[in-house]
Formats: sequence, C-alpha cells, structure tokens
Amino acid sequence: MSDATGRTFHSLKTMQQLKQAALPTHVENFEPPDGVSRRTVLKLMMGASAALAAGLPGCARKPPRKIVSRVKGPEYQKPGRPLYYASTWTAGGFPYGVLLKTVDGRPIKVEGNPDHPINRGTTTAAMQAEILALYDPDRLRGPRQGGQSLSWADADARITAALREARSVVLLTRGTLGPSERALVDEFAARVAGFEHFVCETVHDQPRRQVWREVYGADGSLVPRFDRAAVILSLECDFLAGDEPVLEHVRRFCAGRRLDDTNHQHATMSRLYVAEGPLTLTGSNADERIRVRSSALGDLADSLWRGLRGEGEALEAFAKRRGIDGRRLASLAADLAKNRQRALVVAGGHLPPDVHARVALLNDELQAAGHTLEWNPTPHRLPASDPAKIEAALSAGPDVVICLGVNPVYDLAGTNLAGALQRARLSVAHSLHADETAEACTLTLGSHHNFESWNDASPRPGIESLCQPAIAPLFDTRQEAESLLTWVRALAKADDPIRKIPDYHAWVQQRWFKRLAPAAHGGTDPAKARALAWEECLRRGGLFEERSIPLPKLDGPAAERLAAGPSETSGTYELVVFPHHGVHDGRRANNGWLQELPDPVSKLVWDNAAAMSRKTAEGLKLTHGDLVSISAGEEQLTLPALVQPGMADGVVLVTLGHGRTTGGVVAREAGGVNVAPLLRKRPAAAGRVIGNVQLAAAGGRRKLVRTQKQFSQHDRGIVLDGDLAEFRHAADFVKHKKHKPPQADLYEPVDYKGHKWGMAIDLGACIGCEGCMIACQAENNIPIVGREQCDKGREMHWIRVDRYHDGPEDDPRVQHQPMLCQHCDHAPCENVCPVNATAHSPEGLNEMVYNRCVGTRYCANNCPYKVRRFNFLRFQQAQLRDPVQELMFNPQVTVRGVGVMEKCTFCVQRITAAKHAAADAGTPLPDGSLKTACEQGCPAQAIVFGDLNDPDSRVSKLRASGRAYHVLEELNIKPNVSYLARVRNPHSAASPPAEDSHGRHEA
Amino acid sequence: MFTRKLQRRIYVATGVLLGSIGLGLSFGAYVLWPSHREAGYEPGQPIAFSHKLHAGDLSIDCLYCHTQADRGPHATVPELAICMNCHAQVQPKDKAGKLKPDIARLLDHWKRGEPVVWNKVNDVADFVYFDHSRHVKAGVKCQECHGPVETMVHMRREYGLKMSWCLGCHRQKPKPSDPAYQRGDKTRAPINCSTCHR
Repeated sequence: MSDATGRTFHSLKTMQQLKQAALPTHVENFEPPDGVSRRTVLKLMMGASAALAAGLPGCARKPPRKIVSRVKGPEYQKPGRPLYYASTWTAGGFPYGVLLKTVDGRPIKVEGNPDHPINRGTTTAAMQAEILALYDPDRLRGPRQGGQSLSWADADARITAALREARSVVLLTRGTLGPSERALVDEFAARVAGFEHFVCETVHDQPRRQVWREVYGADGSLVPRFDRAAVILSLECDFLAGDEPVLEHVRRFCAGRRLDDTNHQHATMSRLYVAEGPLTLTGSNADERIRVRSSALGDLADSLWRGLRGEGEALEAFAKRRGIDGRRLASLAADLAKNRQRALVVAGGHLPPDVHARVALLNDELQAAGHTLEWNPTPHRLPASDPAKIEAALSAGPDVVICLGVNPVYDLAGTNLAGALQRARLSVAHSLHADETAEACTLTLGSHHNFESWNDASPRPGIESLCQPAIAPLFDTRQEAESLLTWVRALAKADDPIRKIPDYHAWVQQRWFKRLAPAAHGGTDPAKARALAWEECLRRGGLFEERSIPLPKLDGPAAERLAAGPSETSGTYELVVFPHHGVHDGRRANNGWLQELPDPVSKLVWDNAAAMSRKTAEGLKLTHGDLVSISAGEEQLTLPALVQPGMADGVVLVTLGHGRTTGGVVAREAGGVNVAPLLRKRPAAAGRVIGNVQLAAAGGRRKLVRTQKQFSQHDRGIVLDGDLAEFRHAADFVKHKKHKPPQADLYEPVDYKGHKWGMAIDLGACIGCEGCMIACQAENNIPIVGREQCDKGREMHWIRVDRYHDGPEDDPRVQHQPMLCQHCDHAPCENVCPVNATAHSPEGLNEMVYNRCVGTRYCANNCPYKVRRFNFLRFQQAQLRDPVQELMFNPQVTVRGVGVMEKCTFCVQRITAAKHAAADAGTPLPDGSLKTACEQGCPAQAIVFGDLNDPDSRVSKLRASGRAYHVLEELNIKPNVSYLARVRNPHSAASPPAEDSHGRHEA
Repeated sequence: MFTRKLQRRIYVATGVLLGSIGLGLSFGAYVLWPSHREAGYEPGQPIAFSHKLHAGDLSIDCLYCHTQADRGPHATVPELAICMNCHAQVQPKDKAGKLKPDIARLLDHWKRGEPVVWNKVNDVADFVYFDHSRHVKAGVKCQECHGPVETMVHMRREYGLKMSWCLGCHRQKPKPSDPAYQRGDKTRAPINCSTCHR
C-alpha cells in the first residue's frame, strides 16, 4: 500500500515479522485491514461530498478580470518581486535599523537591517507589528477642524496666524526626537514668543538618567556589556523585554551564554541573578531569582555594597529584616566578590534615584567600568517632563498648544487637560489617530507613519541612522517634522536661509551633507560626490562606525550623598507600573496584533490586570479574576486580580496602555483600565514604584482571557532543562531525563533525496519574548480573532510560545518554549484527512492545501502539539474588503477563508524563492541564506532552520547536539523540529534542597 | 397499509428527488456554460492588438514585450513605453491619411499618461502560485500553455488551465536533457502540493 507521496506502509503481517522487539499492545489488538484499506473506504465515503464541497467554490463565477499595464514604470521595480529599503524604526523607544520588504510598491514586512550595529538584523514584536499600523484604516486621513476636513494650506494659515499673535506657545513632543527634529524644534523655539517645550512620556528612565548625570558628571547613559560579564545582577531591570536597547541586550546576553557541545567539560556561561518584586521576562530567565519587594531593592544594593567592602553581617541582617532566604544572597555576594571586573549590576529605570546611586557605587566597587560597563554620551532620549509641570503649563492658559505625536489627555488622564486644551486660543493635535487629545483639540492633523517619513536618529556616537519612506503617503497626511518646518518657514523673515529649505527631506539632507562632507572630498565634483555618499548612506541605512566609550569616573561622594537620599516608605502593599509588552504606554493600542500577543509571562490578551502573588490575593480574599480596588493617594481604580506565581508578596504589578476611550476601533474595543492616573502626581524622577497603596476587594469579577490555560508540565518532560554541572558531566544529559519506550514503525522509512527541511530551537537561548509570533503573523497573513474568540481558544498564531512553571509556586522555574508545526515524518494529521488536503512533500514538509480543505478538523484533533488553527469565522473578510488593509497582505501567501485549517508551513514561500534564486545562480543553496520569518526576527537567534540532508548545515549540527530532543518523542511521530534543552547556571549552594513539587493549577 | 403517513413520505421523497434533479441540471448548465475560466474565452480588448501581426508576421520575440517572463513570476503586460519604442515612428494611417483608430487610441493613452485596462485572458485561480520564469527557464515554450499565439488576431484562451492539465506535463517522465532527470526525479517537474499552493 502506498499513499500519494510514494510512502509505503506495511500490512500487520509484515509488521509482525519485523525484528523490532516490543510492539505497543494496541497495535497487536488491531484487526488487519483485509484487502480494503481505511484510506479507500474513506475515499469512497467522502468522495461525493468532497467533490461537491471542493467543486462549489471553484464554480462560483467571478467577473472577467482586468489587467492594467504601466505607462512607464521604474526600471528597478519588477512586478511580483521584492525590493528592500533600508530605513530606521524611530517610532519605538530606541531607533533600530530595518529593511522594509516591498512588493509592487507596498511594504509588506519589516526585517531587521543586518548592517545596523545595534540590532544586527533582529526585530522585536512591536517592530514587526508596524506593518499593521501603516495600513491601519483608523488612521487620520487629513487635517480636520471641528469634524470638518480642511486643506493643509488652510490649516497652516490658521496655525501660523495664531503663532504670530501668540504670547505663549507650548509644544509637546515625544522624547525620542532625532537630531534633525531637535534642530527644528530649536528653530521653532527661536521664532515664537513665550515658548515652552515639554516631553510627554509615561515610560522613561528619568530617575536613572538624573543620577547618572550627577555621579558620572555628564549627560548620557550606561551601555552594559552582558557578553563580557560572568555574573549579572539585575535589580528589577527587564533588560530582555522593556529596557532599551532590548535587541542589543538580548544579543549580548545570549553571547555570554552560548554553549559548545564539543568542549562541554569546560563549558562556561554567565550567571544571571535577578532580584525583583514582580515576575518580569528577565526574571523568568534568571538562574537565581531573589523574590524581594521592589521597595527593598535599594536596601539590597546597599547591603551588597557593604558586604563587598567587608561588612560581612550586612547581608544577613538584610535577609533577616526582609524575611527572605539568605542562601541565595550569600551565593550572590560570594559570586560578586569573586568576579570583580567580570560582574555587572543593572537596575530598572523605574526604580527611585537612591537605588541607582547605590548601584553606581556597587558597580564601582566591582570595577565594572572599562570591563562590563561602557558609556554612551549621546542620550537619544530627551528627559521626560514632570506630569505636574505639563498640567500646570497647560492650565495656565497658553495661547497655542501643539501636540506632536503625543497623547497627553490619555497619558495624564484624571486631570482636566481636555478642558485646558479647549481654553487655549488654538490647540493642535498632530497624530496618527483621532485619539483622546485630538478630540479635545481645535485642529487635528494626520501624521505620516514611520514608513512614509524621512528622518534620522543618532542613538550613539558613530551610529547615524537614516529613515526613508518605503511608500508614498497613503492618506492626505503630513509628517510632524514637515509641519514644524512649514510653520518655521512661514514665521521666518524674508532673508532667513531656512525659507530656502523646500521640505523636511532637504532639511535632513542638509544636516547629512555637513556630516558627509569629509567623506565626499575625494571626487572632482563635490556636489556629485556628496550625492553619491548620501545614496550610499540611504542604501545601507546610515553611517555605522562602532565605537566604545569608557565610563567616566564615578563621583563617589555625590553617589553616597544620593544613595542616602530619602526613600519612599512602602506600606503593606506597593504597586509597580510597567509598560505593556505590546501596546507600550498606549501609543500602539490600535494594533490588534499586539493586543492579541499574549503577555510573555501571564499569557493575558486584550486586557490589563493587577498581578499579585497567591498569598497576597488570599490575604485580600481574592481569587483569580476578582475585581480589586487600588487606591494610591487620591487616585483610585479597579482592576481584575491576576494570580501570578513568582510575585513577591505585597507587590502588585499593573501595566500601562489600556483603557483607551478613543483612537481607533481596536483601541476602544480592547479591555483594560488606564493606570496612568496613578503617576500624574509623581515627578518623573520619582520612578514608577508606588508605596502605601490600599487594596480591597471591589466585588464583581472580570474574565481574564489567556491563551494558555495549563501551566504545569505534569511530569511529561515537554521542556527539558539541566544545570551547567550536568552539562559539563555529560553533554547528552537530556537522554537520562526522560524514559523513551521502545518504538516500532508502521511505515517504511522514506528516502528524502535533495533537501530535507528541519528546524532546531535552542531553549537555552530563547528568552520567551514572542517576537517570532508577530514575525510569523506578518509573513503569513495570519488574522487576529478578538478577545471573545481567544477565550474559546480560537487564536490563529502559527507559532506560539508556551510557558510552564516548574517547582513551587512561590519560586517557580519558568520555562519558555516556542511551539509550531513539527512537520513530523509520520504526521498524525496527514492520515486522518479525508480529502488529502494535508500531505507530505518530498522535502519533508507537512503541507497544507487550503483550497482542498473541507474543514473536518480531524487533523487538528489528531495533532498532539495543538498547532493547527481553524478559521471558525471570516476573520480576514473585513481586511480583504478594505481598500487600504488589503494592501498589507503578503502576496506570496494565500489569505485563508472561513472553514479552512491552517498551520505553519516552514515559510514554504521563502523556501521556494530561495531555491529559485539558487537555481538561477547555478549554485547549491547555501546554508543560512534561507531563513524562516521566525528565525530571521529572533533577537536571541534561538531558531535555526536548514537542510537536514546537508551534514554541514547549522541545523544538522544542532540536531546532532547532545542537548537535542523532540517534544513528545515517545509518540514516535518523528518531528522535524528539535529542541535543545535549556542549561541553567545556578549557584551550587544557593537553592533550597530540590523537591520537585509541581506548580499548582491556576484558575 | 397505504397510510397518510406513507403518502406524505412519498410526496416528500418525490419532491426532494425532482428538486435535486432540477438543481443538478441547472448546476451542470451553469458549470458547462462557457466562461472566462474556460478554453476558448476570447474577450474584446480596448485596443485591438493583433498577436498574429506582431508575433507572427513581424516575428517579434515574445520576451521583447513580455519582458519579465523569463525573470519573474509575472510575464507582465508591456508598459506603453514598450509599445512606443516602435509606435513613436510606426503610425499607420488609413487612405484618408487619418491615424488608424487603434493607433490613435494608443497615442492618446500615451499622451495622457493613462494605462490601458486590458481584459485578462489567461487567468489561474488566486490560490495557484504560478511562476513564469521557472517554466521559461526549463525550456517550456510559451505556446505549450498559451497556444499558437502567433496566429491569433484576437487573443484567445487556448487551454482551460485546470490543475489536471498542469499535472499532465508535471507528471511526465523526465527526458534525459531535463534537470529533473539528472536529479533522479521520477517526474518532469515536482508534483507536491506546495509547488503551486501555499
């Protein structure tokens, strides 16, 4: 018997003759198929209905189609073939280099720019999701005044007239302005009366920056070298998820932890200690995690510092004072003392100043400067303004208020900012969406998206990044800086040279020409040489020369003075405010991909909640999902409680960015509560840890929707891990972790000639950031389904990141595991499909044919990994009908309709393209030239895809590693995705005696 | 015996039978009716471009106009600029010395910078990912799929372009000159699903 791919399988008789000893009993009891195979029966049974079902959509007659030729097209753009533009993502917290993949003139995918020294080709989830934001149909489509649209000329005339007469002008911007934008703000400031500039940012590291300026004597920021550190201590610093530049941090952190099988006896890796109150993504990756309240971190840093200076009792006293297990602290102190010059301490930007002063002293004591710490003297972010100052300035009744790309009415919710804006003679909101601020302002101007704009960024000396548009503006919008330039030009005197600058592109270029002048001196024609140098910068994405700058000398007395500064009292409960992993401070709230991207730690979607430990919740008589009222000072808000293992008792974690009242359909429909009012009375430099918070059960419940409902592995060995000691002892330690029953094959082995595709995922590198999920979503036209459908388990992600808690609930060992179609050689989904809509390719791919699928869902039921996704509803219909959104789809991948099963294809469109490119070049396909979307974006480079038939390919080598195993290997379905067991590096004396009690089930 | 219940059942069964026959017939007629997806589809075009004249009588190479056929997925309908390579000079007139109407239309489009909206003749379903360059590079003649274009005054769909028809070629045994033969493949071209569907 054989199936369509030529794969043969035995009858039971030959099966029994096989020499494989032990057969599973259920196979022996199975009646041999007598002449007629199950397949034939199914074929006959399903034949008629399948023919009808498959025939119907094919016969739906569509009108004849049109084909439109160009009149005269650009030579470089070939229909159907991708074209890449190097640009910069300036809309995030840190400017990263991107390559924008455009097909037929429209950007369809964000890829990292491999030349950019900060991110080196990797991307975050938020970067990937910018494609959705570009084609957001809720974007503002032009200037509007009181619900009426008006022309840009009219809007400019109104604004410049008001600016000329104004005696006081307030400008509100983001902190992440590029050098050209900052120069423009200065020009603007020089030409208006009573100018005030405020930086409206809720998420910032102002406390840290302020301390650094005082103790290092210059404005700038630290550049931690995680790759050079042997011991890393993070004090609630989420450097793997929120603390920019994340992508550089992840790369360097992983570089310090790569393991080599060939030399496993002498393997070394850094050890990460994390001391924190809430469980952050960084904390979930810690080798040793110290659960301590956020308000105690200054005390901890101080005790460590004293301990290092010889006061041996300081730490013990701290442990006793805070009631925590002293063993981990002792091993941390011992590790730090042993690894001077190879240790590094970082603290989260949201912590109060005294912690940072103490950390500076600690790093100085550890001699980190010059070894594990470098300096960046060009801080790319402007200091955030105090909310109270913004409120005061706006309440004072300025004549003109201009909000450029900011949403102060939401960020400072709770104050009467909307009223203040309405009282101003003219208030202008320049933004992507009709947000809360736009509603309050007299004039609303639509902004360009990042990918329609010209810009530049200089995050570090030597790194000058250029941002160029990849598409002509979709709507009648204008770049914020372009508007500023227009107004400056109109205000300038007749002989002012700025009047000669035609547009913002020329403004950016002018600055760059100055910068490029030395490079361009070689040619005979300086103008031509300059233009060539500019073109080269555009092509590469900027000018990149990496320089490392040593840390300035620490001003010890200043640091000690700051360290002794007042620290807030914490009370029974304290609140930590973090940005949301997806929507950040709310600016990306209308992005459905990010709303549906589960929280990497709690797996919550479309919502925010108050995360707390079980003990805290029980103390308040709360269970998972009960509403809890939180009062801090005068502010009071109600959120559902989320019981989260690993939280310090008494600490509550809330995230910003939800509870938008307007700003697009998605932003409005998403659940959650705006927690920004908690911060509006606090100075920016006070940080975001709020003490003396009152908690009380508020009565009522809200269902918290999570994409994962079971967090225990139930001893099934799905994620395997081990200690460095085990790895040193035997590189193949995983083989002893799990019993593998004897196995026999029902099928004859298939000889895969040519390529055989496979993937290896290094769980030791994976940090669980979920960047792969959005990369996949963008590449493969994957829909979002909304909160209600997520609750039914109908989310569509082809790759997800599973998270398990091992060990006790208070101190869980957190595991992250990307899970996608395993492309099993003996795929259980294939042999239950009645219409042969999923079949095996000669290159080992488990293929899914949408136009053949009739939606029985047998395959999904038979898949042990639960990676098949079914289109229960018309999830994409609205996008397909929207003239703007339909431009977003990747033309190389089918947009699936209702009633169709779908799943990971190993990016078969990329495989095809790479094979064709290699065939055209007449060379064999080089290993590494073909990357799946998830692999390409992965900040940790944890995913490797390639040809298993090539013994020298990276994936073959990883698969041969001792750490490699398959998930659910005992089913003998021969997956083609190998996982490399995670190796942790705990201190031998730190942990309490191993008792493998497993995590309790959560609600 | 012949109860009301049975009578009702017979009525219902007859109704269902007749109904389904009627449905089947109309469905069949609908499917068999010539459409743009069928062989022989020959729509009118905004400009009566003759492939017979250009590709047949004048022997202009297909790739001269369909520039991407050997380089990319789409063969591409030529840009007007390509038409104008010749027609900037070649502007046939009728006996009265007036430009022939189709040439006048072309020049008008060119002058106004407005593309011509043609009716698509050879069209495959959206879930088929067909790549021209693979076929041209493998030595498949344009005529194998498009028919004798050089004899067509009006462009006509020669074949239905159904999956079984595609597989007719793909399933053939490879000739010794084919790369597939050298690879040791059993078929002339791959026949797994993701070759065309993804």
